[in-house]
Amino acid sequence: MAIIGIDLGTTNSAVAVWTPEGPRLIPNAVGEPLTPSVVGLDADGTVLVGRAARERLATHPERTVASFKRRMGTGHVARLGRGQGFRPEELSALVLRSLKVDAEAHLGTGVTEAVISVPAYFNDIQRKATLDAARLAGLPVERLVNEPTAAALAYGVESRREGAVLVFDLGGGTFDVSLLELYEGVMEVRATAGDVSLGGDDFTALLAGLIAADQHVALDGSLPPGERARVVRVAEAVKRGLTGAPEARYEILLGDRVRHGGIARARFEEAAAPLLHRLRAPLERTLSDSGTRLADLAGVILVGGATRMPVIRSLVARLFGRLPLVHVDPDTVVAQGAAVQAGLKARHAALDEVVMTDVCPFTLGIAVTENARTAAATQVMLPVIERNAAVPVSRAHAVTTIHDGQTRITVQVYQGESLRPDDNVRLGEVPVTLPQAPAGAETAEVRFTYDINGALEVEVAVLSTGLQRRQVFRNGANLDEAELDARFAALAAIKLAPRDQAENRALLARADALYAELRGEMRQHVADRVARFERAITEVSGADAAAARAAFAADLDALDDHRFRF
Amino acid sequence: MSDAAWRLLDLAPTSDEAAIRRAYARRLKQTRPDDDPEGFQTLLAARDRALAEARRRPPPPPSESPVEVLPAENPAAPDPAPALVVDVSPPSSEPAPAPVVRVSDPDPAPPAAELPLVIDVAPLEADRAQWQAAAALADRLPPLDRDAEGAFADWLAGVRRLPHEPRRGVEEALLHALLAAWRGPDGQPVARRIAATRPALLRAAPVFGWPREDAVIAASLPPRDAAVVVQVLRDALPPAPDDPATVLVRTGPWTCLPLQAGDARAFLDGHPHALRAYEAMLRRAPVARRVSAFALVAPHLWAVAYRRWGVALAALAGLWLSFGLCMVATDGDAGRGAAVAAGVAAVLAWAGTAGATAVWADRILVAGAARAARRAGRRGVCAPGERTARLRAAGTRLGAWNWIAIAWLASFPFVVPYVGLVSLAAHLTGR
Repeated sequence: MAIIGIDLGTTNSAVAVWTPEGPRLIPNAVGEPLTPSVVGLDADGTVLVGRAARERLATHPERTVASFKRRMGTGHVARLGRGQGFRPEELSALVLRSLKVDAEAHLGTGVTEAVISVPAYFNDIQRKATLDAARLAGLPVERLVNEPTAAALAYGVESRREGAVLVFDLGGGTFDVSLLELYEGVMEVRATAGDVSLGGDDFTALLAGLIAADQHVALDGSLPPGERARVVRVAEAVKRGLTGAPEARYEILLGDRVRHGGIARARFEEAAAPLLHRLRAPLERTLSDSGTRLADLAGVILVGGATRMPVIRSLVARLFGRLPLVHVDPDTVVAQGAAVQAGLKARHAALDEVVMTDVCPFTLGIAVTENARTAAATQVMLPVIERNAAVPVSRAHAVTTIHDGQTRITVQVYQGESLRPDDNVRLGEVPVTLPQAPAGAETAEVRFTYDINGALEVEVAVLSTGLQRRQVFRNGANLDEAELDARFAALAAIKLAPRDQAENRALLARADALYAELRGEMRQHVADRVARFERAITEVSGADAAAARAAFAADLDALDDHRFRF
Repeated sequence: MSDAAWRLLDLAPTSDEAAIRRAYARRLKQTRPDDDPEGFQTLLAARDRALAEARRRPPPPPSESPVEVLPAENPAAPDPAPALVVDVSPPSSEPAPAPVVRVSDPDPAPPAAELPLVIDVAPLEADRAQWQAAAALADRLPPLDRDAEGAFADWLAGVRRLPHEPRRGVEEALLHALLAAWRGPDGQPVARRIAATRPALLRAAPVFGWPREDAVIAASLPPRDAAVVVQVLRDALPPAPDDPATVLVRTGPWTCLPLQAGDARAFLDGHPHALRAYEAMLRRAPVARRVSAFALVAPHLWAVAYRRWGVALAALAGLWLSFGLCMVATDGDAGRGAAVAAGVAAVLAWAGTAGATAVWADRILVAGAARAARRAGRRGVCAPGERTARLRAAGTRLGAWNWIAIAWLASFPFVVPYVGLVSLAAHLTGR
């Protein structure tokens, strides 16, 4: 029985387990540590997750979804084909289920519990949605860990170095910065800031826009979804190409013509300036909130695949006046950290000397009216828990009535840094009733308790009557209990594609995508290879099948290389 | 005092931040945040308190060995919890332990023979209880942000009851806390943080007599910090109607800048002789500092006198030269009386034009200098070095205008009487 750590990412997910030697990554069915967070529906109703689904993005865009983590907590419904709609929680649940199956196959035992990492800047609703996803996947999850904290945990446990460390986590869809202090086995998060809608996907979208502009097409509804997906796919390839070369050339099939083009790194960097600018604000806030000077930083850890981009690396080097950096695998370090957290939770002996303390990255407060005479229109935010307070934390604030004979107080709970409540995220409200009294005579105490998983509990107590109301918010964007049960049953009925065929399916899906993009002779070449491979896997098994797979994969790699010349 | 915080950390009060962190780490492993949320918050608060207190304490002298609590060494009082010993260096690895200061020891006094013969007069002025009260107040400084106004007002009420000398110690602690509160992550004062302490400044100003030329600020802070404090106080507080802190500082032969004392020091930083003269002026003429009208006038009069000795001598020489020329031209017979009259008229013309021009020129210069100083002050908070540079640049600009004004004024004593006399003589001789 084991507790696993899961990094449920925007583009890729990974799972790891704590062993006495340290965190260990668990490979998926295809044998890779990273499972793409993509879900697709096959023609026969089976659900594909991971590599196979990602390859189908270009060929079956209407039956495949990706980047659903960005919609976590919004209640957005994605339709796969003509079938049922899926909420982001359910799509995440499918990914989690696939990861769980991988872990169980690898470990040979059942998985009793999991620790899931979430972006530090995820709000209460998004965290609840993540917990719901785990529940839908049948995975008991008690603990969420912030991604940059997880990265630092993995780093701290591995290196045992001391000092202040800044974690720069630019993932597929989210950006987080955390400043940690490591000493004597204590990993103390001092400050965290971030941007939940900034990540590698935005850079890809930017490149897609550049490519579309070069080819004189519009990236809106006028382009068929298949072609749009192809542009994004090419943009992704160009982004990766620009990592190693000053210019990336591409070839794309749009309409009936194959078009060629190239994007230079300088042009990309110029276009990315607004995105790079958005990276600065969280960095500055983290440094100023933690009261740390740049000179005191012992290291900068780059986390997330998007930090491979040279433009990000040079930005970090410029901002911090040093070359970053601490070398860890930016793709899997979060999963490893989640596994460390799982080990901490299970009280593994090797982690006895390690304590981690985290912070609440945003201000939580209530809307209040400062003065009854200056009209009820001007409500301001009264912070109850200030941002970057160490968690678990419980703080209380007293509020009074402002009207004579007022019998009701609606405590509206907000999250955010703006003085005006409307600019912040509304989490919910707690109504309480009071006895009639003159204005200011009745006092209610509002207590916020923010626990170590980032769950907020609000308790309102009326002092004169002793009435208490306690509430954990699940607002409209979250599912309620009955709905959760119903969806759990519905999801359980859905079959994941069998694990032993996952690899073949992934390769075939990739070949399909290639076929759709190529023309003429090359296309025929792909079709031949696919036919040969399909014959091979029905006739042989075991080692021979593996060899056929390897050969087929090599062919596809060669074709891909031919297509993208960097 | 926050004895409870130190007790919770199992640590003797110290200014060693690393030791506090170590003690915290040790205790944290027994009070894990996921097991005991309340215990964790208490521990965290204790640590933050201890750190804040450590920053206010002076650092330990380098020769002294670290302060340790070693209860195990004292057989008379065995401690039941040796696991909570906080020792910087493990005793087992040190065969000959360094001298240890025991916290329970009430008096670690040095031998009487080595007592230096210095009598500290300060404690004689106030009684012991008041000094203790001041020390307690300095230790118990409430937070200075907006939320803490009530606590801060109570604290100030306590300070108000103290006599002058103990109050200086409290003021020093407050100044240090303010500077710490203003500093951003890069160590430079941040306008937003300064604004957050403004209510506290407004409350504290009447108690400590801010803003003023203040010996406490100058004596207790390094010069850069003192300049920052003086500037922030002046920017944050409304000026008193009879603000004695404004002093006209001579910066060149003619230039006078109406400056705050702190500014003046910064301004004169690069001119040691001028700074010395300024300090001497403040020492010798305390009245000039207190009475603002006189403070405005006295250096001005000096400047006029300077000009009189410099320029007037040249003017007199020119006058006599032209008078002599006039005598030669009229050849001495027809109009001795007329020539005398012409000479008197020339003196009057010289005095009138020179005086009027001097007054006007001075007013223009002083107004310009005042504008420059105000501008420098209005630009908000900037690094002391930058502010000095700005003021110095303003001084240089004014210096250039000075020389133009000097050349222009100097031409009058020579040209006006000469032209006047020659035309008068020509008229008298009828040519």
